[in-house]
Amino acid sequence: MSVLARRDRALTPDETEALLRDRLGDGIVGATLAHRTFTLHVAPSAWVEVHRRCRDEDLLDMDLFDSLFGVDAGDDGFDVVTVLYSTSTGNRLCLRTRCEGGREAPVCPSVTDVYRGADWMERETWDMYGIEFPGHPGLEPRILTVENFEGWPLRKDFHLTSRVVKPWPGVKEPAELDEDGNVIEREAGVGDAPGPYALDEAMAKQALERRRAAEEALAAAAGNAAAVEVGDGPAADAPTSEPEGDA
Amino acid sequence: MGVMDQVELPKPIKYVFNWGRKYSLWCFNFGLACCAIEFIAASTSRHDFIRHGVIPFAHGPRQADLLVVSGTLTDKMAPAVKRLYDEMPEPKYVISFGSCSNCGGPYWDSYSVTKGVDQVIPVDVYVPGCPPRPEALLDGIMRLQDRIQNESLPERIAERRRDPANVGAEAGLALDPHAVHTAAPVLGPTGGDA
Amino acid sequence: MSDLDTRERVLQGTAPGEGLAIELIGDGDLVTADMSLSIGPAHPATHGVFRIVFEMDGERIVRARPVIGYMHRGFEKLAEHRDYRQIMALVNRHDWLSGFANELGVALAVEQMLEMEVPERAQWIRMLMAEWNRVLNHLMFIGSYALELGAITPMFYAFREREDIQHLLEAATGGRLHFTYNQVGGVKIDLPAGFLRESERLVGVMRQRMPDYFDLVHGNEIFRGRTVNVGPLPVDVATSIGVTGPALQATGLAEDARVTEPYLQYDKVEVEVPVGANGDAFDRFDVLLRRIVASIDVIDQIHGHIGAGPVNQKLPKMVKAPEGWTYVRTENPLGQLGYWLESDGGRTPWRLKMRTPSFSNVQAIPYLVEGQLLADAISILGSVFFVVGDIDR
Repeated sequence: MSVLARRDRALTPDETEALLRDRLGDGIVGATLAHRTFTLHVAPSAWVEVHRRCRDEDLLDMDLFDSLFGVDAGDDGFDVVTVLYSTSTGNRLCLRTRCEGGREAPVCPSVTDVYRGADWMERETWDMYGIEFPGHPGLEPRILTVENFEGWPLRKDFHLTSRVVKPWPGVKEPAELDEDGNVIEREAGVGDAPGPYALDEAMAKQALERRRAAEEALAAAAGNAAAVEVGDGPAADAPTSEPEGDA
Repeated sequence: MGVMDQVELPKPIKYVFNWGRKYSLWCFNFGLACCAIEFIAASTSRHDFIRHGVIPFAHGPRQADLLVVSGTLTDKMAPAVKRLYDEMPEPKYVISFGSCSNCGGPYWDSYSVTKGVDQVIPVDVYVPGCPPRPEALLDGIMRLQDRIQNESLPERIAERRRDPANVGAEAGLALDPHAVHTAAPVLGPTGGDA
Repeated sequence: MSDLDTRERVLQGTAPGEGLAIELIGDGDLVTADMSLSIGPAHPATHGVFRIVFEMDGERIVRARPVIGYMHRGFEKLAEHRDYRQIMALVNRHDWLSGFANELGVALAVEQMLEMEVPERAQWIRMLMAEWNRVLNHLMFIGSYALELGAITPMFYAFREREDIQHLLEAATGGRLHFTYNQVGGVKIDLPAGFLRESERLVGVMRQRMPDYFDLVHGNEIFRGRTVNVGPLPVDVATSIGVTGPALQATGLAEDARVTEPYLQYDKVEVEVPVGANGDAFDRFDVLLRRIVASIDVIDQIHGHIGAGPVNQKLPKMVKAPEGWTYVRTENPLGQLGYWLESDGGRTPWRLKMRTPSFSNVQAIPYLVEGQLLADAISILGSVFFVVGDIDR
């Protein structure tokens, strides 16, 4: 079975939008095509219907349910996005809706009747954002977090406690760089490790000194064997440079 | 253990006894994440820790002397690790394998990760790395074996009874995952004993 | 008093002690009660901290309910607190058997947002690494699946090969599991001298050893007995759930992002997509084995394409993706990995959704095991190849 069977008949984004607008009317709020991703904005009332159309409409044939997830939309509440894919035409379509109920009680109709795969995805979205999905067979218990977990971790107003109480000690943190990416100078605190470059430099210096000492020792040995008049000058230097190298 | 944990054995016998113990460590791999793969790599032909007397075929915690916790410990998982550890017979040893089980590792700021397995069970040897190489595990095992060779079993067991929170089990360890999550910075026993 | 008497008294409910009485129903057939059986979260048969609760009627599974989340580490939240360089080191850890492929998706997503052209050599190097990573991943599953069915030997064979390949990748990346070799705009550093020669040699070695695997597992009568016609998955159910990767290809659908939506330079190489017939456990495993052969063929072609040139580009001090969102999917070893990257123009993503193959594939498990015998559940669980970190993230 070839996946590219109907690739030549795949609809363009404009045609897809026109088709769904024809079927659903005001259900389609808008469309964006940016960064090679085509997204249709759908009204919550048409949310289930648009999925059914996408699946059953012969020209679209979106049979592979890719994913469903939430996005925090700031003060406007929450968005729910689904990604559908057609294995016969090779088209992909993203559908996006704004949940009703604002930030307090976000609600989005469930598409579990259309796609089986939405089951866990909606449970996950509820777990992460607290978005209710009427029509879902059972969102509880929490799918990923601990059952007695409090809060909705992916909401922007959920703060990571570890970050609040213990700032990261390094300077590699985005928070420690200013707008242009320059490191904000900061006084070294207790327990700060030397940076990788300081360590590299120290090691390179040691290696260089060790090599120089070895070379001098070699030269001294060669000098002793070949000519007596070179004397013990270099040989005397060699041991003094060694402890420095190790220090 | 019978009389062994009561009586301090004469030195030569203790030496032989500990020598026997250190080279027959039945090991239970608590494989959680990435590090479990490196644990398996350490047990297969290239690195082969069986030559060090570590036998990775313990059928369950009841048969195991050594617990290797390899991977990220999450709050949801923590009670299971604790329970498993409690099921092991004395004397028992724990190797924490990898940064995640040492201290949370790359997930130091996560809301769902326990910042180190030592908040739940006592650890004997920490192996750093993300994930550590199999050679690092071999090194950790050899360090544990040195410790076993030189230790006194009655002392270890007595110490564990005296201070179970740090050496042993049963104390008020932060088993309530939510307590671990909110207690900040997490300070080990937070009294979540239900 | 004979044993028989005791037994009869117990059966009739007249023996002393409550709870011993057994009531017989029907005309003497063995009657069983429903019981609930919880396997995991740390059970050897589930390779990883995966728990599944079966409701059993005797040996038959009435209902199965996977319980996940034991490895939930909050990747999506943490990604919102890390910049685009740091995310690379984060994402390669969720599916710990395919670190390189995970990074690749994020790198592609950011590049797609920035409309950045990646040097050609970097693209070929990425493909080479991704394919070796695929081989690594599949070898692990060959070993572990056989182990679950009671054969230890394939594990040792698989790790012999894995060590060789890891050794090769380590030479270029410095990592054995988590490579962190991708960066936005290319790869971290160029390949070391002699890498391609060694890679070519390994291709020869792998080709020589692959028949061993086919003989060892494929031709094994016990293995066939435990997998053929066990847990078949119809193609429409698979797509409705969102199953991808070997499990979808085993149903007969040749869906592979490398072919259907070529990224990098995959349109310049021949990628063979193996398919199965009826999507049972044996087919899934068979597809996995043949995917290794296909990957090795791809690697062999890549060797001929890698030309000279830069492997990365000069980046600004702070990479910032422009406002908007993008969706990138790549063919991960276990299926399709999708990244939804949404940015508000800042230095960290506003939202990074990981659509992981294991999460969708595992959803098919209840469908597969219900009505099956408990003994078959193990071979079904193992045949839906998943990594727990990839499920829970």
